[in-house]
Amino acid sequence: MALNFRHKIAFKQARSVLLISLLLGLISAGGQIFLDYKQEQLHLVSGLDRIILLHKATAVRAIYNLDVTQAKEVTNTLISYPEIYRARLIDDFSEVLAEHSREQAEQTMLSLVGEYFFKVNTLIETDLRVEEQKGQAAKLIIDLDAAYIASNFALRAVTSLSLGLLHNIILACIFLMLFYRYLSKPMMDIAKWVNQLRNSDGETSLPYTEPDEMGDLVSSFASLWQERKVVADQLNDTIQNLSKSEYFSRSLMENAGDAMFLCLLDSTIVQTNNQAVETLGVTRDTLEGRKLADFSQNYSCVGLQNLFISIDAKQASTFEDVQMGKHRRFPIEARCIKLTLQDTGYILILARDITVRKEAERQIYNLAFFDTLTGLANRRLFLDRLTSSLELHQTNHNYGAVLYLDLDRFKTINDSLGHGIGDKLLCEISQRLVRILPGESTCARFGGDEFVVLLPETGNSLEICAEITAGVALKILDEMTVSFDIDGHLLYCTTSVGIAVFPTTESDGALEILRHADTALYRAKALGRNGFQFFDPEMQSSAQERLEIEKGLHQALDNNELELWYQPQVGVEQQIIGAEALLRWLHPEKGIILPGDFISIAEDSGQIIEIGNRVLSQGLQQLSMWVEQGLPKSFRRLAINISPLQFMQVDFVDRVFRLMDETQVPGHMLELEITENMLLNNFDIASNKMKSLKQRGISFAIDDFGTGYSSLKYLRHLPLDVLKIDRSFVKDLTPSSQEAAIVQVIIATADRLDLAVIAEGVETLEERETLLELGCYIFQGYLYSKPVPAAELSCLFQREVNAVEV
Amino acid sequence: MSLCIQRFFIVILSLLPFSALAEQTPIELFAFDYPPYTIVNEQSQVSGIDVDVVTAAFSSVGVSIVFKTAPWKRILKNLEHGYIAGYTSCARRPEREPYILFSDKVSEANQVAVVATKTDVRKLTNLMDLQHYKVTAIDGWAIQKELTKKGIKHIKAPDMDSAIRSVVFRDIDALYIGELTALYRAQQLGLEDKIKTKRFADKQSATFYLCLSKLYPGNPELLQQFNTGLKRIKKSGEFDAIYNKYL
Repeated sequence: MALNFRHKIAFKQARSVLLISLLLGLISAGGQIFLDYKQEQLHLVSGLDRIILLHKATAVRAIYNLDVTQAKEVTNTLISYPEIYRARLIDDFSEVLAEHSREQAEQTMLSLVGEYFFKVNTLIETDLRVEEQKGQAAKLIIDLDAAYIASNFALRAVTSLSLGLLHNIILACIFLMLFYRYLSKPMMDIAKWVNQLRNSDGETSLPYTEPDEMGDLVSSFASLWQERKVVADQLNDTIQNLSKSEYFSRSLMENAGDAMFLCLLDSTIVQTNNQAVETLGVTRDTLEGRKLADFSQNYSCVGLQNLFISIDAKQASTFEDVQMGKHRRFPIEARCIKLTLQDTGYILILARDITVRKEAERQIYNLAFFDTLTGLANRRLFLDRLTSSLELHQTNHNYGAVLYLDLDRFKTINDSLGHGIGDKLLCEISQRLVRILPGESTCARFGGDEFVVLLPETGNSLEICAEITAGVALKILDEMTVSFDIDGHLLYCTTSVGIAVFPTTESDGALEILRHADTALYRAKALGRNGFQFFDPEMQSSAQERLEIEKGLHQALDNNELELWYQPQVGVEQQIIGAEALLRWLHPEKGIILPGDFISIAEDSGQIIEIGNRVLSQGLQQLSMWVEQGLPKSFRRLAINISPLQFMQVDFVDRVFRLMDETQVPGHMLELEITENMLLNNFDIASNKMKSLKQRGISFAIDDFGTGYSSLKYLRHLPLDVLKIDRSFVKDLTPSSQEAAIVQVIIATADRLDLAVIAEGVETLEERETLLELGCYIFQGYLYSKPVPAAELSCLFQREVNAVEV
Repeated sequence: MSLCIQRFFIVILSLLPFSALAEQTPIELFAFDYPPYTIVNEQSQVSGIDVDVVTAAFSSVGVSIVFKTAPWKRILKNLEHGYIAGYTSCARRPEREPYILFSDKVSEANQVAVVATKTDVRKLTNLMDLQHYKVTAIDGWAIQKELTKKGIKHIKAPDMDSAIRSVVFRDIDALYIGELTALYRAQQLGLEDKIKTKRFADKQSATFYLCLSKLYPGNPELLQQFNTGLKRIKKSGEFDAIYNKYL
């Protein structure tokens, strides 16, 4: 607390006094010097006047008499005055009568300064009047010693200033002592006393007891100190107790087995314990201040905040998460509770590493739901999935299938090569199954050599489902024909498959379906192994047939077994107005197969696109040939069926145009027959494509009108030309039959929309008459001609052409 | 009308210089106390032989003059500068030639030794004989300088009175001075019986003139007039009458 002398109040006060008195002294000395300067000037002038006056008469006399001696006396006397260094008497003839001078006073610093300030005329000329003066006036010229006068003046000024300075310094010193004695010293004593107070417990004597302001301050402070000391002691005790308590709490927290995080409500970590630092593998400094969400895998910052908001202050909440430490990730179970400390809400989180528990849970789960040998699902999981799939059917009406597999002669392998080889074979088989099965399927092992496959949501009809399932079964059988290489043993292991498609009845349960599949499996085994059997025999044949057709279609396309036949469309006068191209499969073994037997399969397998393109190409080529050969005048157009899948192909329009260009067939001779369902699903795309095609003159006919969702919307908005009344309405049509009403409505609608109407499947004259009555004037059916090969129709055309010509 | 006024003024103006000549201001001449040639009394009134001669001479030619007095050096310097017309009487010396016009002789003076009547002057023939006497001369005067020049030891007297007295009453043997001056002054002091004069054989008499400044305008004519007047009064006897009046 020792103060630098410069900082003491006494010094500061004395310094102020010194500065102020110096300033005032300077001002007063300046004034004094200025007055002195004026006085000195006056004094000098008047003194000189007196001197001149004193010697004037003598000088005048000397000049009058031109008395050099007397004149010299005068000048000599004059220079004896210290302020005069030269004196001259000039007579009235302008001649120097007498002159005396002496050395001027030496130039000193003082005299230079004085000369600078003290300006005085150093040359004084006095005119002297002489009796009987004829020439110019005589003169007494005196030169003053400026240096002498100035130094005199300067000396006085310096003396005055010096004395003033001395006076001020002495005054300041006196003040310094007084201030020190009466102000600084007591205050330093007081300061020392205050410092001692801090370190001493007991009473100390007051440092200043004078009855003045400072004494009052000291006594007031002393009493205040005592009061505060009592309070401070109490406070210290409280703090000590608190810190003990805090230490206890802190120890508890630090040594807890669980990681603890004290977070703000925005998930910022405020405090953690050793366990948290250890498990996360980061330093405490890095941890505190960051968001808890930074270490969370499952929760974002906002997610955690929302969770925290929902936490109650009374009831601890629990949640699970995966924490991402620096070196590892581990699952935690966190218990959190809300705390409010000093109006701030906190969340205390106890995070327990549950890696071990989770691992145990996973093992339990695996044991419960998976086959330990192959890793495939076990019976329990399979049944669970099957049940789910059954439930799903209620909403989407898709059908699924269960395939029950049993390895043929596995027991022989097991017995001869040992369980080790057997187990490895089972693993290998399970891997092959998983590889070839569709992604959404479930493959399970029920023990031994029994594998079960669930194909959920395989098809929207039983037939399709059966076919696809049969395909999968064939694939499995096929895969199993490839030998297995187990520990150097080349093993062949065929399998038998029993298939149950579900649901077949409302009451089918999972176990029931499994049993069906098992039954089918036994049948397959009984039928000679290495094959598959459906539980439903009909399905077996249906599926097999479909499979055969699909397979046969590939051959048909490769071998050009598909051919276009044509059925004429005739008018009222029996004249051929047009023809519809109809596909015929000329199967080498089965003979002619109609489209109804294979088109739906081709649509399911996607082969329809290629088939459709061929139909379009062949039809246009044929039409081109007919145009070349010559067609009857009544012939308007050739109708070609377009499947929805074909029509929705991106390049369909371009393909049609390209074919038309190649075959030089005009657009108005081509009619595309489409079905209602196609329009229903993709109205906008279909509409655009139709408009594009329409620009080239192509017309459109709605096939099988009235059997689907006949929407009046597309009739109104699409560029349609023809409505074809489905054969089901025409068959056995009489004016009184119910169908007549429907046909009437269709015809009326077509009339209103300016569409032509063609009746399909007209076989009898009655039907024709009725149609005519109802207003339909174009017919297609056996009444006129069956679909015939192109050559036959050519003959018909030829005949008609000739008849007309005749 | 205007022509008449013009003519009137021309007449008046033409008369002015003539009338100025007629009312001529007296010419100022200076003199200083050198009795009896020029005597200046306490009231600075100037008289004396030369003064009267000059006045009479000028008067005879119709020029009126007035005399003033001033210290000798002052008069000489004024002459040199042409500030005054002239003074009387002065000796002719080479250093004065450049600036003074000298008139015809106005008066003459013999430089003599004034001794007490009882003094034996038989051995006093030539000027250099003064070496054997205790001599005084008036300080600053031309003849005092002559003594100095000739190496004759002498005592300087401040004025004529003390010089005469020193000869009569003190141990001074001789006063080297103008004869008439000494006699006139002794007469004034009542000591004319107590002194006698002794002329030197080798010493010519000194001649005094009216000195006019060369620089003063009109002085050559004035000199002519004066010389003319002087001749007239010498002829008429007025000149001698003046001498008689003083001695």
